[in-house]
Amino acid sequence: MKGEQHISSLVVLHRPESAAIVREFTAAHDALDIAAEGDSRCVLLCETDNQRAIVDHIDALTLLPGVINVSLVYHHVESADELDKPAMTMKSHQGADV
Amino acid sequence: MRDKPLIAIGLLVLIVVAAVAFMAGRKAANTPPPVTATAATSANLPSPGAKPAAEEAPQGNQIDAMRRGIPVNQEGAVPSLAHVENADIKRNRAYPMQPPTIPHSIDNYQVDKNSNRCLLCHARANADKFQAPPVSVTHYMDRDDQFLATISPRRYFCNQCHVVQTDAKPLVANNFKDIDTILSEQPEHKAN
Amino acid sequence: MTPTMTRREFIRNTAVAIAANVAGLALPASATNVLLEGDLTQLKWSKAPCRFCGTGCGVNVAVKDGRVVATHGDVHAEVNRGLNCVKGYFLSKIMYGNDRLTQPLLRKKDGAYAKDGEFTPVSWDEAFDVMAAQFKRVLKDKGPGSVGMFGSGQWTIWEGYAANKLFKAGFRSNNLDPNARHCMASAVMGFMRTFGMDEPMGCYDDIEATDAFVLWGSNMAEMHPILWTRVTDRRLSNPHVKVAVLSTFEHRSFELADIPIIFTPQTDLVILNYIANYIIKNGKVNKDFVNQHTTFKRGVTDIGYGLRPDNPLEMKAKNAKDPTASDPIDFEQFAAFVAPYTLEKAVEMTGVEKGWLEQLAELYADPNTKVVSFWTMGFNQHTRGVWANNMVYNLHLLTGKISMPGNSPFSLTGQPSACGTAREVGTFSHRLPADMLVANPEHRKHAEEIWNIPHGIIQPKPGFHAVEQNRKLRDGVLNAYWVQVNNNMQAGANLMQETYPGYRDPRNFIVVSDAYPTVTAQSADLILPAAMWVEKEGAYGNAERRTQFWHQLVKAPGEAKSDLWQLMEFSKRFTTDECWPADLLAANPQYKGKTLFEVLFKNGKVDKFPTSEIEAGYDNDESAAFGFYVQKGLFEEYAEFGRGHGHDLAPFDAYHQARGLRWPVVDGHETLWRYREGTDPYVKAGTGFQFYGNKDGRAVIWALPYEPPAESPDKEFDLWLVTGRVLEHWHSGSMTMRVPELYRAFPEAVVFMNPDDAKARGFKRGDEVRVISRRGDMRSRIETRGRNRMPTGVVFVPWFDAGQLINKVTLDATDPISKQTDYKKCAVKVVAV
Repeated sequence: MKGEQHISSLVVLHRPESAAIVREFTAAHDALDIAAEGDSRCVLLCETDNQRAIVDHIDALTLLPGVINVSLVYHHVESADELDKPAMTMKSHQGADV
Repeated sequence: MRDKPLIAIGLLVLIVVAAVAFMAGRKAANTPPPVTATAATSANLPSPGAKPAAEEAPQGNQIDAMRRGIPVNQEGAVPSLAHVENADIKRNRAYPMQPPTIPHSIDNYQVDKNSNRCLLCHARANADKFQAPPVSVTHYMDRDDQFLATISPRRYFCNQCHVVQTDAKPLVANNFKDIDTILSEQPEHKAN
Repeated sequence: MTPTMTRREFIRNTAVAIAANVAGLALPASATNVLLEGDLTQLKWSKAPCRFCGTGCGVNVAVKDGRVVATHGDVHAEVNRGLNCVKGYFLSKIMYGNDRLTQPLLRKKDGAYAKDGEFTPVSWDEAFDVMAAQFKRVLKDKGPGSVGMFGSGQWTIWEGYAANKLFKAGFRSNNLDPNARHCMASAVMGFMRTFGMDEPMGCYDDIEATDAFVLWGSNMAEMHPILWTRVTDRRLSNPHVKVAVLSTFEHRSFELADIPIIFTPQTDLVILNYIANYIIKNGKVNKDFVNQHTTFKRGVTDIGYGLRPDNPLEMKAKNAKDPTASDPIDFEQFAAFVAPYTLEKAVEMTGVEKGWLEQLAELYADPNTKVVSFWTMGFNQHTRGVWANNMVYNLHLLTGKISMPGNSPFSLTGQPSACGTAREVGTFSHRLPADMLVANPEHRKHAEEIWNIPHGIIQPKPGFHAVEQNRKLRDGVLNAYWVQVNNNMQAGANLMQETYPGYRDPRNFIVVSDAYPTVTAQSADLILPAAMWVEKEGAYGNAERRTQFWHQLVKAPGEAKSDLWQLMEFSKRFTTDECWPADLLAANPQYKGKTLFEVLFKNGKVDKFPTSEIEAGYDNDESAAFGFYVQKGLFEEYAEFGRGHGHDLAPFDAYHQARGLRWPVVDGHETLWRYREGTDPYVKAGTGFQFYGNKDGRAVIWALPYEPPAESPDKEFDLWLVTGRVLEHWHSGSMTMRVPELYRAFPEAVVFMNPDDAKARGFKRGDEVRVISRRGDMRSRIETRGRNRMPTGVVFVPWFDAGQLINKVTLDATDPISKQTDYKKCAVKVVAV
């Protein structure tokens, strides 16, 4: 797929004292945003133009001091053009007489 | 997922319409009118065929579209085998977590512990070459959320989640509404 | 929707909402930079177990504006860790089929109920008035033995429990049986005869710990897909692990098989005894274990086939009347019993190559190989199903490979609560909760005490089991009959001779509660619209003893009501004077003049918990209707049966938090491996193992032979017929056939046939044919390709398709001990239409 855009979300489990490190790392990478934070976990949004980059970010996050685990929860890929269109009803074909 | 050009949607609609028209013709001989439970009162179909003296045949056949109107104790003609759609056009998904259906035939695909025909095209390394959608990165994670170099063995048998679609027309419609539909219905009653 | 919202924003919102749900984090104000229109898009996610099979996967369910809009695999659920099978991924659509039943439908003619009338919408009041009048007529004229109910392994725990009370205590009828009789009864009796206690000792954790899997008549790849992902993971990640797959035809599970075995139908019994003999002959018996923890018995033989008593096969069978009798024997006698089952004899009888049989036997015999045996309907739907269960335990007991991680004989279940509701709650016609029996006076007394009812209410004689219910309906003995959450017109064997004539007999009044108009509903006199899955608060128990709860997440459509509401509301229409004997009421005057609702449900226990204890943010329509927390009261009363008796359940509220807990839950800890010291709190220190279901603490090794099936192919009916399921559809398809993607994946049943068999009959793929047995016939089409490869002489027809009722053809032969039907073997011919 050309011009593809990958949107994924990650849950990062970390020691409470490492929250700042995760925040710093996120701030340093354009692809990452912190979407929600708890004492020892946070949700990161990751938007990249290729799949490899998601895995690279996850690997790098895993290596941060105090990070216990990083799991990829959601992954979606679509062309960048499509993503910029207004969100519309996308009713799928549901069969008989609909 | 709406990751397809509008022209593809148009094509899909055409194909579906054609399939529906074809099937409608094919099944015309024994297709009951579309009904719901409430319609059971509006028509009193005589039950065809002989019945034993001690039995009363049910009258409410029209409430079961699944039997195409054939009474439980009788047999009707069976529709022809449905054909697997093979147009290679990606289909909509009702919600992002739904595994995509397979838009092509998989007849004679060998998938066993020694070989996986699906991954020949859909593995990340090969996807570009075959113009096939690569499997999602989620498929490279093991049971403990750790990343693997190859596809996770727990995801190895593709058709436990991904299935082909035939041209058979559903006997009963489904009123499921996706998130987009529900959201698009909202502003009207929010009136802002 | 504001025009400014793009698809990117929508996807980002979804991604965040799902991850936040997984992480258990609320979305803070700081998240609004990504969550535009946050209030609009916010979905409410809640946990629930999957509605389908006995695996018991956890799912997260998203609700928006009172509708389920999405589901995904729960990453916190130990069973499936985020995965679902294709059916599970489409769960969100199962409630939205266009033909949901939304109001009661009664057959009427000229404004009144008539057996030959037309289905007409009526109010709940009218429906229950007519139904109560019919039940009262039968109770008065013929007594409690002529009313009955057919329930389900898909009932929630409290629904099964309420039905058990209403019938066994309220109406004093033991004619209550679940459809689990069709799928798990042989496993139950196998457990009871070997261990004295139902349900597996191990759990799914065995999968990640074992060295070998043996599938005895189980196509896990299609029927338990998520467990199959765990088996696949184990096999492909650990090259030393072996997978043996045994069946009468080649199916998808063979894709992973190292030891593929296709055997002649019924000869699995030969293979089992051959392996026992191999273990003994090769000196691989674990003597310490056998001496300390087992005893030996020889069962009676020639026990018949569970057909009607006047069937020549039954009249001829010597021990058809008492098929469970046995004599104690010793190890030497057992060794002598299995000695004739040599490799040569096994090869000759089974048709399996000798190398495969030896490799299979060696998996069990080698003390360094941990073995998990899995089985489902290939064993259980078998006229010697109880024997087969006993005989596979023999192999694990002879080698001591049991009750420890990776060594596990494991009976899989087909329904989401076959264990939780049918077995643990004891909705079988001979059972009470917690493995107790109606025939045992102590057990009845104990139940009557917990239920707060006079002694003598529960009848001592077991009621009609599933197959017998159909026969008694046909014979006009059973006349008022209620069916909930199952589709027995489609599922019961021998439809044309047994099931259908009974339902349509003018002497009988048939009520069917369902969410959809199944063929069973269509054959009824009154149809009651039912709420399903997350339209009610529920609890299921899966195959590894895991009890799982969910909240009501959406409202049922129209006037549809849960089975629980139906059972309890109906009980208000009966008084004790109408249902209980006068002498018992005279001796216990405090019960006189009360309604069954008052004595069964408003008894000071079931109504103990106020509705204020319902978790905030969730509806509970039954509790709102009755004015107390119905589910909690029923569960806590039910839990009294098992606590302290090896079936301990945790407190009610704990299950709304946990992703299920495996019983016995003692001091807050679940039990993964029963019967072994250190992993089971009921096993005394110093004993090593205790099979405490039996009084002597020992498991029984059974000497049982091969006996032929009830019907085999002959010159006229020249093919074996095997029935079963496919991946995309669940059971009779009433839910999955209404999901367009699943329907279109596998729209119609077909006759899977070997290409040579097809050629010999002049068929090509797709030809329309009739499948004919001595009992009936059915039209279908020939399939010579696809997922199943049939050996010559065997055809397979799935039963999910209401348009092709293969049970018009099948034989209602059962295991004489478990009364479970053999759906895997009967003789048919296939001819052109």
